[in-house]
Amino acid sequence: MTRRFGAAVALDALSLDVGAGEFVALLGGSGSGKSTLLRLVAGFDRPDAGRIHLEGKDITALPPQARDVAMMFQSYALFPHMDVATNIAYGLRRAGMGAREIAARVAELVALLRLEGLQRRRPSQLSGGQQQRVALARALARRPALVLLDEPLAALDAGLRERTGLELRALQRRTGASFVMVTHDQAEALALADRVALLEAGRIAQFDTPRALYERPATRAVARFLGAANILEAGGPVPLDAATRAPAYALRPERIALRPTAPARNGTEAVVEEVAFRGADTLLLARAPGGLSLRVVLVAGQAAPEPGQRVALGWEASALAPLSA
Amino acid sequence: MMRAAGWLALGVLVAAPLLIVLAMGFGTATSGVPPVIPPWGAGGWQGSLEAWGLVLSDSFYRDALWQSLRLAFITGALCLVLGFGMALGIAAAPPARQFIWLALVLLPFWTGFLLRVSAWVGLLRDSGWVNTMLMQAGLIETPLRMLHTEGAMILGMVHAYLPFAVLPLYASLARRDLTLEEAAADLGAGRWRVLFTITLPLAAPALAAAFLLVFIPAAGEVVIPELLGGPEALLVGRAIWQEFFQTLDWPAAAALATALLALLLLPVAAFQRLAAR
Repeated sequence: MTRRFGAAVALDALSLDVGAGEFVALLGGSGSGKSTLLRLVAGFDRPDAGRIHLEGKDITALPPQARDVAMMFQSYALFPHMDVATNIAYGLRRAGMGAREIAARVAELVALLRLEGLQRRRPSQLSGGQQQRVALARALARRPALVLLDEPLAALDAGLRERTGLELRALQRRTGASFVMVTHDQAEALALADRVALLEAGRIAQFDTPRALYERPATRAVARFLGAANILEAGGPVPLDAATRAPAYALRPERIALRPTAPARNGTEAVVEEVAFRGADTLLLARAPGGLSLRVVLVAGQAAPEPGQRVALGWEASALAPLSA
Repeated sequence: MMRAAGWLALGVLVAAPLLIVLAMGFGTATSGVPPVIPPWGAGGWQGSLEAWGLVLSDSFYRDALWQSLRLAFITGALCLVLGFGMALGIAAAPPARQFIWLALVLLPFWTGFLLRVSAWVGLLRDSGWVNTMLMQAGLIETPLRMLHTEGAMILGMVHAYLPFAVLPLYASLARRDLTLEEAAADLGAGRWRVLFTITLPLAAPALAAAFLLVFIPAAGEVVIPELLGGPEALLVGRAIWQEFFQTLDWPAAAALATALLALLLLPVAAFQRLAAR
């Protein structure tokens, strides 16, 4: 699909395939096009080119109300003049369900999302976490084939985010619906999704499982976005010995180890510049010859060197992930 | 200091005239200058309930009050429907254009009120623009009687009071959270369903405010029924005018004005209760 806003291209001939029952995260910075993509799939916006198919049916021209897609908004968009039960029942009413069926389905969702006793409350009388669960219940009510989640955890406190994220994934497995979640938080995307699509400037830079994305980033940009991988140029100051030839390699900081002496290849001497104790591990910033700065993560229990100390670093050839660009 | 000035202005400009009118309703008409004997004099209470008895028992005044409320209600309802559509349209326009539309809504205020009402007379009378055009087009042979009908009166009222409905509705609709309407559409609601279940209920306070801003001044309107309405349009504004300036029965005029005010306080109180919820 392509979507332009004036001269700006929000989505650039992007193509994405989501499997049935799959949990996909759209990961990207602001302006990467992830929210535009979500709005196109929900039907709030039309693509300039391209088609959208849902379960084999072309839904590109359908208005939002005719799509078997439900969206959970970042702001939750709960109807402030309706109580919790009426909010959840809104989509069921529109589907023309009978009163008794609606009551049964609402009760089911209230139990599923632990909203017991809150049915008669207005959204303004709920905590952030409760509002989030009501929004989710409302989106799930009609058993849509596809659930879209726009930054579903962003409005929650940090303490609540991790647990709610795991609940979200458990819920996705239980309902069997496909989930597509937009997020700018890479830890969230990697932890929850079956596959992560990394968006950059309206294109998919890489679409892969979290592990593959983390261990085998396709490009320098992916490696950089996914946080803190070292990027080593082939033919750079540090001699490399990799299994495959590539213009550059990503090297995860935890794959670098302290050695008694630096090996001739896949290793270097370096001067420690910064040491940061982080609880579970310790982060070193070390400067190698040629000005290359390396991030090194040492697991807890290892003796960490002092700033200014000379160290020898080395890594396995398998730790070098080839980058295509 | 500011507050003291505010209270003073409120007292001099609002409370004092109200109290004078209220007191006058208990006075006695006389043929002098002024044509009223106040209810309190040197010898204490000297007022009477005669004017109130007249206003409350005479069906002429009851009908005038009733007709006025009916006209104000029709005007308010039409202004709400038209004003809501206009406000919705303006709020949906690109921000730069919203300003232009709002300026156009307010443009009639740049000409005098009387002038605008008179313009309708010129348009609607038997030899007016509309009839001339229709006759020249061969659509009608004799002029349609439009001026001095209830239709002309309502048209003039709606035209005059529509901006008062558009402005509060626009202010509310321009600030509304559009994701709520998207969420409703996403959950299967069509355009009209979204309007009736989300947009309108959430705009209820603005709708009530817009209605009252039209209803209250419309209930006491004198000029438009006088110029555009038929002779049967005996509205309370006209009745007050007549008692005051023609019959010179000031106590009756004052009692009638007070009764109108009391009636208009009912919807305001209802609105206050709604807003407090």
